[in-house]
Amino acid sequence: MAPAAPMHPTPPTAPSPLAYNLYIYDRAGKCLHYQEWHRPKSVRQGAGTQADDQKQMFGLFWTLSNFCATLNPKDPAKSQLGQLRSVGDGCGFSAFTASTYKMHFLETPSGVKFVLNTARDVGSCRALLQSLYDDVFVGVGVRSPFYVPGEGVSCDQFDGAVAALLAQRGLLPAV
Amino acid sequence: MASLALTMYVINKSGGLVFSKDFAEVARVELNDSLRLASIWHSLNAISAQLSPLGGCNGIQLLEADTFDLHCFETPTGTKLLLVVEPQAQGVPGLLARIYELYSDYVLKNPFYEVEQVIKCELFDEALGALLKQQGGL
Repeated sequence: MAPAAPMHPTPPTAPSPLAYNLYIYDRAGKCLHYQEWHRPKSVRQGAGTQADDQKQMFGLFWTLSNFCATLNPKDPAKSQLGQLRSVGDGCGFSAFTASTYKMHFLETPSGVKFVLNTARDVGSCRALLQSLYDDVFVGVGVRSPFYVPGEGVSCDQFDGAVAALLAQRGLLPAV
Repeated sequence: MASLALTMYVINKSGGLVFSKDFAEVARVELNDSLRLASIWHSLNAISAQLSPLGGCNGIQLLEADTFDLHCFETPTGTKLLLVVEPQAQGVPGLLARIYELYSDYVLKNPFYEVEQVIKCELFDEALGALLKQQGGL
C-alpha cells in the first residue's frame, strides 16, 4: 500500500510573512514602488525618512554591482573601480544574505531594478522576480492607462497583484 | 583539480585591507582597487545593517554573484575574513572558521605582529596554502 505522493509541494503557511518588503527602481534610480509586509525595525530607526531609506537602498545595490564587476575573478578584462558601465555589463549580483534577512536583486535589460527582502532561509527568488517584472510590472503597471514613464507606479491593482504573486509562491500567507 | 577558493581578504576593524591573496591568476585585482574594495565592503556592511527590516543585523555574510560567491566571517573584534569562491561552493563557513584559527595561531600570536597592521607572516601563508590545497582536493 504505497502512500500517495503529493502532486506539488504545499507552500509553507508561516505565521509571519517570509517576504519583508519590495522596492522597484527605474533606470535613473528613482524608486517607482515600495511595498512592505513585515518591518519591525521602523524606517526612523534606520535611514530616517522613507525617501532616505529608498536612496540608501539604491546606493547599496549600485555599489554592490560595481563591487562585483571589479572583483569578478573569472574575467581577465574586468572593469576597474569607477569605470562607467552600461546596464548588464560585467558581473552582477543576484542576492546577499545578512544575519537577519536576505536581499534578492534583479536588473532587467531596460534598467528596471527589483529588490526583495525576505527571511534568511528563502531559496533563490530569481524566477519570482522575473515573473514580477513580466506579469505584474509590465502586465499590470505599465499597461495601466494612467502610467507615466518616469513617475511612480500607482494603480490600485498593482499592490494586489504583487501580493497575490508572492502569496502564490508561498512567501506571504494566503489571503 | 581546481581549488574552490579564488581570493582571500582580511579587513581590519577600521575597514583597511591587511591581507590579500589570489589563488587564480585571472582573479587578480589591482592593489589600489583591492584597497578600495575593502573599505567599500566595510561601509556596505554598515549600510545593509541599517536597512535591515529586522533589528540586530550584523552585516552581510554571503554575497551571491553571477560568477562567484563571497563569504564573510566577522570576528567578535570586528576583523573580517572574506573568501571569494566558486558559485554554490559548500562548506565555506566551516573553512572560514578554520582560517580564523590559523589567523589567531600564526598572526596574532606572532610577537612581531602589530594588530590592525598589514599581515606579513610567512607561517600564516604556508598554513593557509596547505589548508586550501587540502580542501580543494575534496
